Amino acid sequence: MKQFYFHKFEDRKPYSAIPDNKYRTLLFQFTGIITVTLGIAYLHWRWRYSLNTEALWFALPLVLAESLSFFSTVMIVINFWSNKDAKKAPPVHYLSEIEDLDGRTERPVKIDVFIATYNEDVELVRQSIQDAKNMEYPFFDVSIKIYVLDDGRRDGRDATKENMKIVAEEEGVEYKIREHNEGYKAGNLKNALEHTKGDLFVILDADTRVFPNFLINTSGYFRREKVAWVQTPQWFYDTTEAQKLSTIIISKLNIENKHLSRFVNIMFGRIKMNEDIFGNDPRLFYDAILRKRNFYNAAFCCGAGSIHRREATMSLAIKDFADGLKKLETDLISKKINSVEINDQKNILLLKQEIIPFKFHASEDIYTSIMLHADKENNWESIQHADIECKMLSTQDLDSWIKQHQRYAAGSLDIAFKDNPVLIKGLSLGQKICYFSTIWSYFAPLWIMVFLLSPIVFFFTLSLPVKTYSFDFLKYFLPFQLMNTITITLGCWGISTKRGDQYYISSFWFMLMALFSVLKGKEVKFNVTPKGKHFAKNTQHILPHIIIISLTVLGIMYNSVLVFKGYHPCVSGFFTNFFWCIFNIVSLSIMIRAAQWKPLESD
Amino acid sequence: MSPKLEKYTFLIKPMFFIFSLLFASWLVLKIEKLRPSDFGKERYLFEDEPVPSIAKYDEQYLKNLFLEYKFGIINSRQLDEKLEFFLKPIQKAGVKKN
Repeated sequence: MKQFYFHKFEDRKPYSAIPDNKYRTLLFQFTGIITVTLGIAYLHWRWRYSLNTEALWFALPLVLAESLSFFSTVMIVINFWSNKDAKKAPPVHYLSEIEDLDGRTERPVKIDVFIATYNEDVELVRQSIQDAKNMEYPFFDVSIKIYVLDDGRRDGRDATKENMKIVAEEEGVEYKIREHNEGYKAGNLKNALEHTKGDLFVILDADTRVFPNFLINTSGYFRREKVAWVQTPQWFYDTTEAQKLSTIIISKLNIENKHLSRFVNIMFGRIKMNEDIFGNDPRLFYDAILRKRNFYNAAFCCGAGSIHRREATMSLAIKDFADGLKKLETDLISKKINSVEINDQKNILLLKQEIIPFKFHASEDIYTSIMLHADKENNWESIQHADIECKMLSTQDLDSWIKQHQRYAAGSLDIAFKDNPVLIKGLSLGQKICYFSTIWSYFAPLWIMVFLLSPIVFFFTLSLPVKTYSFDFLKYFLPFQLMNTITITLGCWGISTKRGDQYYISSFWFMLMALFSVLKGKEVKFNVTPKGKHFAKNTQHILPHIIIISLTVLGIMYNSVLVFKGYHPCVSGFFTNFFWCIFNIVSLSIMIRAAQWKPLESD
Repeated sequence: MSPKLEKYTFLIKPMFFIFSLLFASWLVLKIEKLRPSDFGKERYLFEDEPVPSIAKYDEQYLKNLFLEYKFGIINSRQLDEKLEFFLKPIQKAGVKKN
């Protein structure tokens, strides 16, 4: 059996979902209302009384950035407002349990399992196949078919590539390919749906390894006839382990002296760092953000680890197909073309146009979710399942991490500019807010950039964005910040937000690049996330971080000299910006550490 | 809960939100009125202010006062006035304590 780096993590156990607590929810709502009110009071004071009119070029961008950031806080409060986990139900057996038979004969349900692959190691895919085969189900007559959907066409035609087809045959599962890659993963799934008949289908990535109870714990939700899909949390079981600071020092400095090593161990052995250095743990997203969207029926599909009702997916495709025909007919009628020619044109379109169940897009999962939620005729529902039912691999180097997150950002922003959910008819207000909140988060680099540059501007121009850092500033700012922290803690109860907060700040540059690329109208490409470790030097990615940190440190040094010599015009401003800078430097440094990270030899 | 009251349970949540909103507004109004001088207004929250000890804090002041009288800088009326002014808060604090 081929050895992979993640084999040493096989024994890791997934986290348990945070139990719902109605009193905590009420407390969150109480503090949320106070936070928003205090935020409004703070911004009212900022806009009306605090702007330094002598430096409006500095004051206005900062207050605008603060206002936009506050809008994010409001979105978070709405997103986290309440929790409504779906009621669990026993696994389904017969078709009538999940849909109306409408005259069809009763039969056991059919379930397909799709494993989408492109260029991943075939032995890695083999493990996913084997785990899928190990899935249990209480009814022997329910057909569960596993399909490997190979978009890499590794069927033996190209001797330079590994042979995926042989692996599929060895494991006794179906193997499907197509002759092109149109529509990326969505196209791959479309091809599978055209050749399969399952009433429910599971989507897995090449590295998604399901647990034996996956189907038992998720299929029961489909007893509710309006449930279109169930998403389970994606758990990355290979995130980097915490390392002792002493081990890092000994390894980096190549200390061989026993006594010195012992001294370093005594001094720094208790300090641990680099746990989940790439901020890959998505618990905050699945266990807090997405799960709480169940309340608004706005939890969206994230691809791998989800189970779908074929009828729902196909209904969307057929609706799109019918809309296309209708549009063509309306266009032709408006051009006053005779009915014979209209029918001819319609026939041509009928033959040409394909039925596309998943939107052909780099963010096909969220896009399809929006469209299904907006389908008012069917009122489809989605469920974010609380417990972990599968495990996956995370990105293991900064380059892959950046590519993956830029794709998420660019995909979501592309939807915002082309098919904005706020303007889509059929979505409820709650759904619109939740989808908009996801998209809005990708605009964050605009105000993060201002927050990072403001102290530097102050240090070198000695201009203040506020009239003064006076008592009034503190009396409005501190209570708001304090309540904000309490509210977020309650909303994310039991989940560490440290890494998430750091990456929210430090990923500003890549998110900004993604935003510019979408604004320029560049096509969003579906980059397949590499599964494995690629320890290339990533210095080019952290150049903006190094520049900002260097300028900040230089600014602090220059201002410190002014303060000690008694020449500084605003000492309170210096201290306020000094503390602000520490936060900025700590946040930015995570990306620098991630770029330099390699497993220690002792690992 | 009695069946009569049960039909009004739907009011609990809106009332809770209204209360939260009112509380938040009250908090904002309180914060708006805060002044730097408000801090230190009440030095002792849970007990009375201790009586200042003459011997400890104001011995020098009294010495100066009597020296001024001795050398004729102030007359007896002025001494009385100054002593009264000095002793008033001490007497007041003593009464409060009793």
